Amino acid sequence: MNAEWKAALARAVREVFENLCFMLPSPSSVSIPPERLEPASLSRVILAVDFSGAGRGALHLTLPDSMIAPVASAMLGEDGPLELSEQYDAVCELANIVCGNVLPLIAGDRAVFDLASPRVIATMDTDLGDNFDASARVLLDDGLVCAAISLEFATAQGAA
Amino acid sequence: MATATAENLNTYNDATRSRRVVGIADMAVSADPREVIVTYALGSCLGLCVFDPVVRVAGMLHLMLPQGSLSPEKAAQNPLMFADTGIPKLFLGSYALGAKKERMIVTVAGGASFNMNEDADLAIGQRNIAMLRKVMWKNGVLLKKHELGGGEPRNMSLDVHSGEVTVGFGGETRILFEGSAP
Amino acid sequence: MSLHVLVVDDSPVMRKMVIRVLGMSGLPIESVHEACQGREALDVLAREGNINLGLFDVNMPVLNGEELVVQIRAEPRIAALPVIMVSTEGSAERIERLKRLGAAFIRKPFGPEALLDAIISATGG
Repeated sequence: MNAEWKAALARAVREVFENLCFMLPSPSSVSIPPERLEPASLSRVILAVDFSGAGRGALHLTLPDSMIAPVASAMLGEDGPLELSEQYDAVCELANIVCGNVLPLIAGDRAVFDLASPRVIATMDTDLGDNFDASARVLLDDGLVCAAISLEFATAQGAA
Repeated sequence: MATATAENLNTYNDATRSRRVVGIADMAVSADPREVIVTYALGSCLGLCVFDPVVRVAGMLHLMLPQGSLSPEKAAQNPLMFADTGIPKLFLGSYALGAKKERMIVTVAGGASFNMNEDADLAIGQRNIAMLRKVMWKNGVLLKKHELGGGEPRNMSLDVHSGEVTVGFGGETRILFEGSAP
Repeated sequence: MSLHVLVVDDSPVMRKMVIRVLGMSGLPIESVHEACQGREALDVLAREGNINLGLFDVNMPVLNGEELVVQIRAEPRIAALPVIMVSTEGSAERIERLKRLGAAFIRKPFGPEALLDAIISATGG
């Protein structure tokens, strides 16, 4: 596990969720129920953003199903019920923005990446698994967000 | 519209101004051009000012905490304590004096953080700012000017006559929003 | 000056957020058009003769935002269109290329005030 990449993932998740969803990390002084720390015990959605260019790989973002509606409502500034397609589009766009923000943190701002459209790849009780170069977990007030990245640089120059 | 001259800009000189103090978890709205609304000790709290330049209605809220739904009894007793319950009160109070949302100039200061220990800090200032932005976004209102964060408390004043907003910070006072003569 | 705006992003939610900021801005927005990628945006520009502001994402399928701006600058009728890229793009190299093409740039996640400032700057107030 690359510690710098892990820190970059956590930073990108915190910044994006704060700025777009107005959601902040839970204060660590608050006692956290164990089930909130175990991603596999809750129904979660997994989003993927593939990328190429200076490096090839993917970012995966997971969050509890229970967060999808509040995330979408916050992003759109709307209280009323949103269409399911709009809710999923909102979390997909979140994954896209997290990916776009983490890549320069990892690869530097000279690296050029092309991001594919984000997609939902799972909506079941699954964890991200171990096939990533780095992963991070950020416990927000509204739930646990996990992010993981696999990245293989195209050339040695592609690395930061 | 009257042309601004030295004479009419000075119509309301210091001797005729009256200071109206907004305490913690408190607000004031006014259409009295003699008044200057002030609040002090904005630490993690937020001072939110609104001003309608057409009808010259001004309002200020000093809120403490982000979310009333986490403390429903307190929110019921004093909705002005919380961002999500207090901000609507400020706007509604201003509307009652003739202000219109689409004309409102909104400024905010505060949201400081004093505890450098990230593990222990509940980041109230940061949470207040996040909830303010959420309420603004939800209600379709943009912030005109802001001075947020940092590690020191602030004072804030709002001139009902001109809409000028000043912020005192670190021993200095600066104009956050200039305002204008009627 | 009335604004006729073209918003281009493959995310419907992001288009909605940008359009929401336009609605909050107090600017004289007379019309707002949408497209989900660059090729569709060129079709809208060919059809609507009065668009005078573009807000474009960069990473889009079919024709991305950078390719879209290149084509706009090559078309005399629309070459001078004020353009703001609203994107996660983090590559300084690509951002510099876009700025050389006369596009302004604002990074996602953006605050609504920052987007409004960029719009006012791009349209000359």
